[in-house]
Amino acid sequence: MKQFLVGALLILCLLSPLAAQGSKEDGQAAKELVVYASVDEANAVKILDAFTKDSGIKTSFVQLSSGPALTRIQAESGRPQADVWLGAPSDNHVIAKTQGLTIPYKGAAFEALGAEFKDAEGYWRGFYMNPLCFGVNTVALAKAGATMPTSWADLLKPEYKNLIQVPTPQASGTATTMVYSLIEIMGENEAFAYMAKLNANIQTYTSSGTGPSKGVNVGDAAIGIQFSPAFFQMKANGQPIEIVFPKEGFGFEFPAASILKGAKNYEAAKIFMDWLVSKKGQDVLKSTGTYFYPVIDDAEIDPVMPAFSTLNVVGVDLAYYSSRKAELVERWVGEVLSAKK
Amino acid sequence: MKQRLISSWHDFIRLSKDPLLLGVILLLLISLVLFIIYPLYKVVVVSFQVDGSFSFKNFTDVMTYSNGYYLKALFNSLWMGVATAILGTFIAYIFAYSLTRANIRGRKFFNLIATIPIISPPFIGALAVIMLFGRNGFVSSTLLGMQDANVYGPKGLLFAQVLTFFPVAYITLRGVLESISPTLEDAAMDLGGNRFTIFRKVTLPLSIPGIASSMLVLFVESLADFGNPLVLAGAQFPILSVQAYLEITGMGNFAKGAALAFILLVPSVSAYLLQKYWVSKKQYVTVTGKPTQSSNDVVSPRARWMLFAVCCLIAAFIILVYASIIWGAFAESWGNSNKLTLQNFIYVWRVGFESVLDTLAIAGLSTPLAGTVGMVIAFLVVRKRFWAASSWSSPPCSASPFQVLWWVSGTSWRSTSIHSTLPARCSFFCLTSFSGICR
Repeated sequence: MKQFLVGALLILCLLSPLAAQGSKEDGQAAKELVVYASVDEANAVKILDAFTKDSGIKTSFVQLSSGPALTRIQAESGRPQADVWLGAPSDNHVIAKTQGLTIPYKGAAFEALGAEFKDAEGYWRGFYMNPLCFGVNTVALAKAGATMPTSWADLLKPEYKNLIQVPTPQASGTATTMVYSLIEIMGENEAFAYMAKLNANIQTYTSSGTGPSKGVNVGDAAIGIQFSPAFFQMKANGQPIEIVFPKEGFGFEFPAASILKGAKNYEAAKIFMDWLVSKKGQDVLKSTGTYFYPVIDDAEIDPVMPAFSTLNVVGVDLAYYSSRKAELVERWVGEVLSAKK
Repeated sequence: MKQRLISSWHDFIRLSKDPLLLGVILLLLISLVLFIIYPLYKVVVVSFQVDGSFSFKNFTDVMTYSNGYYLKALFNSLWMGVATAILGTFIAYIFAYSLTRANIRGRKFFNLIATIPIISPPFIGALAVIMLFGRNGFVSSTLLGMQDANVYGPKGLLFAQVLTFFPVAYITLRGVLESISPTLEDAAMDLGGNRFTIFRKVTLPLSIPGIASSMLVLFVESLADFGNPLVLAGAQFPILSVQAYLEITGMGNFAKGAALAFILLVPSVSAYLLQKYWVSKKQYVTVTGKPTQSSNDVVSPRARWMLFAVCCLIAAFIILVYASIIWGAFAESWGNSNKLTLQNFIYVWRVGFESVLDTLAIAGLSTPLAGTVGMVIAFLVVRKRFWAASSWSSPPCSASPFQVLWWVSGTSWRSTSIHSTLPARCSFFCLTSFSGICR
């Protein structure tokens, strides 16, 4: 008898992986929302918590940066575990649309959104923007005896040797935005020549898009090239950081959101997408301290952020560039990484 | 051959008389195939496929990519592995010898210090290296006043990897040294050898299989290491495990990433096979009925003090690493203000609390499951005779060379539509941890 019980328990243990099936919940209308968030974790929490407060819909999310998120959505193809993909630059959402992984939805707030911020058919919509900038740790800069840079050309000066951290375009949307915008500003061959010369001053190319800000935060790097929110945030926390927008112009990202095909909580997803680009949802970007730029004109922004219209941003044709991404990254690896230091 | 078939058949007949055993074995076989062999098989298949048909194109693409960038990555991974193996084994041998033969003071303390890095999370070594030896590092900048310390690249990575992996070598070498009977050294001393000659001609040769074994293990662990190079290696010092990851997540090219992981597998598996089937067969063990206590000092007092000093130095480094992590956790903003505060913990509580709970849940659930399954397999392999018993322990137990492939296969798992909910993640962790227990 005892032997039988032990054996049965053993077999139960071994059968436990079957529980991995996952339960099939019936879509409870508008009670909860599951999100794949490509926004960084801290800000994703702020946005989703604000949504829960406003609408009463519970949210849960998994943070995945754009590459892994797209891979996962592709793998789950049609049977996604989440309802909404929040964040990731819009070219990723374009890819998802062409692969039939998302569904269109418009709604009232969508109509009010500027044409450049949305997909004409409603498959995705942008909900914030971030410009590229230099984040400068003034203490580390002073220690290295260098002056404040004001432009891309400035960064080539030998006084900045080993002071700069930049993400690698192999992994990061931040870095590809930088590469694309430099091509727009300087022309393709000149941009690569520039980056090859800049290589001498680069301390390291980080694997993560948010790596440079972390390096600048602890004084490991004096200058980090990344989107602005992280730097505004650190400055607000009292770090000795200055934000510099280079004179020649700079790129910007605008991440988008879309509803995944096969979403279980479709009603909740629709409410969320409406809220996201409404004034209420956009004001949240300021009130929770994300330091993101909103996409509608009448939303408020934090006073430390210069008005978006004053920024010398350079637009980038994402569809064109993302089709050439593999080729441009390979060229970057060949010409920039191995350039003489 | 015929004899083997006949004896296998007899084994099988014997098995079927014990249905419970048969059932357990079948279940285990199915689990192993489904969770370990099938995903790995899928990854390998994908790496040889282009648009659904068999092709070497992924491999040729990888070889010719950008002036041999990936070849550079392979070379870097290999020599980083060799360097970690040699340096890690060297440090571990000093520790192990000091604690087993030299009878230095504070043995329990050093033993603890040498094994602590095993339990720490993968990024700790890398983070600590940046915080201590980076440009604004505590040791490099504050203490030594260095202007241009740069830990990114091979030097920082080597330090982090040696720190992370030498405990594995230490445990192996300690076992090896303990199993060498001290009476052999007594006999050598009796024959008139001085202490250094004894070390050179008796202790060292007897420990060579252990040293070779630990070097091979460290080589494999270093090749599979992912956390440290992700942070420290940087794009200018490419490492194959990181490049495979970036190819899949950053560039979305699953096939190429799988090809890279497969290339990484070749040296790993070779080293592993070498270790398992050649080196480990050459163990030197003393078989005796008498107690083996040595009454002589095989290490001179002067040498003992020197060894003690070296061990202290190494222990100090390790303590420094963990102290910096703890201090960093409490510091208001590392690098700028060193006021102590709890605000970081409050942040983690608010933002990352669920991650902490999830991690604890997965660990808590998978440990007993893994332990049970591991015990069952170990029991079956050792006590029961059945077909392919010994080869069972090999693939699961050789976690290291397959770690990268397992990560890649985690992605392929999802592509076989098994939902990665919490229980699924649990079972996946189960299987990775039970192989450790099996070992």
